[in-house]
Amino acid sequence: MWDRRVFRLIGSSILQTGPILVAATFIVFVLMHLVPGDIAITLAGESATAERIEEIRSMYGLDQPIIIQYATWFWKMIHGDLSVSLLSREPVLQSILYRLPVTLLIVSLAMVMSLAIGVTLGVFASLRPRSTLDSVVTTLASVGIALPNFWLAMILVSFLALRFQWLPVSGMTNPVQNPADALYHAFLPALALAAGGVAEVARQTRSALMEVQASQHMRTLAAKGLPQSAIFWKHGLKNISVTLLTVVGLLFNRLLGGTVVIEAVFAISGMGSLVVSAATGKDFPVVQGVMLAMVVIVIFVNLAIEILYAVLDPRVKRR
Amino acid sequence: MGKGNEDSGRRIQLTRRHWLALMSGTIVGSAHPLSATIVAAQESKRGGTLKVVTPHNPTSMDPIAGRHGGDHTMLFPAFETLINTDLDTLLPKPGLAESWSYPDPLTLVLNLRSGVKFHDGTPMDAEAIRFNLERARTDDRSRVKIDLIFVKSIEVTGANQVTLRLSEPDVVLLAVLSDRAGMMSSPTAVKEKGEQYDRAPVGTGPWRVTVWRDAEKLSYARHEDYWGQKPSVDQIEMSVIPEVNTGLRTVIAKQNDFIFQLAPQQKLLIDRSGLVVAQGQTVATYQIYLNYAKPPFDNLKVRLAMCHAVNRQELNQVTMAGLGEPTIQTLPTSHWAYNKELEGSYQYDPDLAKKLLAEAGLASGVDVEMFVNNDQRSMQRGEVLAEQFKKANIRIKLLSVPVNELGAKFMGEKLGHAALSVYTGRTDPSQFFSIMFDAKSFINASRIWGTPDLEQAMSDCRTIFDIEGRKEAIGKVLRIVRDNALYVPLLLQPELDAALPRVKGYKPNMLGKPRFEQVSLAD
Repeated sequence: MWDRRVFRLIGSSILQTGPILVAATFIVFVLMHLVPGDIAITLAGESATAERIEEIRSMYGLDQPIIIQYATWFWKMIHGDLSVSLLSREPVLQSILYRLPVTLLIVSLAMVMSLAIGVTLGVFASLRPRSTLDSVVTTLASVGIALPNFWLAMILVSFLALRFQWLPVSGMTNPVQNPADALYHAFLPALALAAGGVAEVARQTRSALMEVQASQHMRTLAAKGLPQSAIFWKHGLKNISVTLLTVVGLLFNRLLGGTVVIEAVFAISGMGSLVVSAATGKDFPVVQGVMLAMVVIVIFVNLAIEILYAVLDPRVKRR
Repeated sequence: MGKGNEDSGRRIQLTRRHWLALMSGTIVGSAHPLSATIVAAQESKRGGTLKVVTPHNPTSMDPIAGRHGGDHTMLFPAFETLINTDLDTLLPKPGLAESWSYPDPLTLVLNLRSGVKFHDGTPMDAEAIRFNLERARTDDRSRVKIDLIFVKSIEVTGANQVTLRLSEPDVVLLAVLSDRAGMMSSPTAVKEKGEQYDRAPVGTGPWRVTVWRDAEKLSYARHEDYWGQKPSVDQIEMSVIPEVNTGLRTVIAKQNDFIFQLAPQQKLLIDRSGLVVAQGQTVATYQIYLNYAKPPFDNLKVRLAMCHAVNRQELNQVTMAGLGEPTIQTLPTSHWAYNKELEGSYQYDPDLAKKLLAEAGLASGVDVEMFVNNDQRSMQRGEVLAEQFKKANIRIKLLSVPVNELGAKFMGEKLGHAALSVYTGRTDPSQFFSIMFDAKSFINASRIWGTPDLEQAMSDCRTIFDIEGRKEAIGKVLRIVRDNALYVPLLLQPELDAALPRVKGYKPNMLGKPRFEQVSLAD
């Protein structure tokens, strides 16, 4: 399974990582400087004089050309120093290491929910095409994609947290410190985040399965006398695994982005809320650090998907 | 908690003797009567964890490095000030300095309490105070340098006595020492931690900081060796939840005990949820900042037209559910320096505003670009005002920008003509005058003195020690500012807090920055 071609794939992906990281962080850095606002004014405080603001600008190196500022940040970064937040003085690496498990737990849980519920709904819908069940699943999938997750989050909070008090309204425990409590807190945000994912996975599963069932090799299997259940579960589902893998890759990136809103609604201190507060305050070391972490995660998720493609589909290895 | 509101709404009458006593620091402790809330505190049990929702993440927990008025609520549990503030009157009262005196107008002598220790065991003595004040005056990262500008030198004149030599008489120094500049940090901790002291503060307050997770949580534990009356609550946990609706939901769901700085629009929901409401007046003010160094506001008649075109009552009803207080002087009626003479100024009169514009040669009206923060409530205020101004032929173009951009655009780049924003309030009116009208202040987008006699009048406020004289000096500045319409005061921001019924003894204060020393928790 792990032949030379797979290792070559991993090697080439890692080689591509460097330029992508430089490009992504540089673009974000430039965009941060193009966004209006002046962090020197924020840092100077309410009763500052114009001279004091200039002094602060010079103290933090904010008066340097953008390219010099980026190069300084990059040089520190490749030496393992992500700097400290200009606003809170908290080391950026420490902020990320604390918040990353929180966000990853929510995203992973949302992914598990999306797959578990979405695949189940898709399978049932594909078994009875154009039936009432199929119509219900298709309609729910459309609604699920259209629903804004922050609205759904507030509805879920109103019922499950405020009315019945089954789940917490907000907050989060760090999964590293208390995994069980973290799961309890993550359930509601993950559910809100997963709604779109459930809908997408259900639709993709349904259509892929219906396509596979209509294919010639499935008809051949039936003609050879294989029971319908064996054809469906053993051959049908296996054939849609590559399609599902593609959906998983795209969905992961989307769920990661969705945490920005969900973390705000549930007052969760994760990567999403960190990048929002940093971007609002023009705290560029934090924005850069979070972007770096996000880009690395996305690259490695895509790499994992590529490897799984090769494992599941021999044609990919041949390419 | 309702009684607290009555107390804070009461006008405090100060006598000349009272003020002179305060100037020499001889009155120990607050003289306000024991309120119902404090009695309730004595009936409830000792201990427990008070869970507070705060909308602000501290900008720093090093008092001199912080830059936002919202930090104080997080600083107060761990830090004490040299001079304390009577929260009913905003007058100075003894703090870490048990008494003080001005032997002459250029000398302030502080007599410190003995036996006080910082949380790390370092003694709070004269040398520690000198270290702190020197640091506040000279450190690169200090944001309070400007507050100590008249302090020429700081001398240790006894084991528990510090003497400040001033370059100019400055009575406002007492208010300054009851704010960030007067919050004392352990010299040992400051030297050991360096810049990281921001995140590991050590004060003398009734609680010590145990955890600060940025933008998430601050935890405090009771300082067992605290010199004063120990607080009832063992621990405080503050959860940072910037979105007030989410914050309020956590209190309704009993995840937290207390939330402050709620929006007036949330009052209905609070009442329906069975929470206890605390509300009061504060010195924070919504106002329109004007750039009077350039047209059209370089013309006094245009500025006056702006002041007369605002219907403050209507603005209060529509945007504050009637909980705010219309103002034309940025002082609540309960403030000691409130000037009754100014009542009735800037009456809402769109016809008069039109007439003033015509006299300024703008009979067809005037176009004004006004910056406003881009959050929903600020935009609502801007839109209501724009409609009111339209009736006086003042055509407002709202320029919505993020909070941190408003200062950069209007005060930094000097774009636009006006900015609608909030002034978070200070204990002494002179501090407000300096921030708003000093030609060197960054907040003063004009960078000029609004009128030639203003500088001297503001200086007098800092140099007159007598209460009546000082009230007169402050009144004079208020009149100059009013007559020259150097800004458009609108509404005083109300304090609106909510708590679970188990929270006892809380009382709102005029600073709008909650303190928890008197709070206890019922079973």
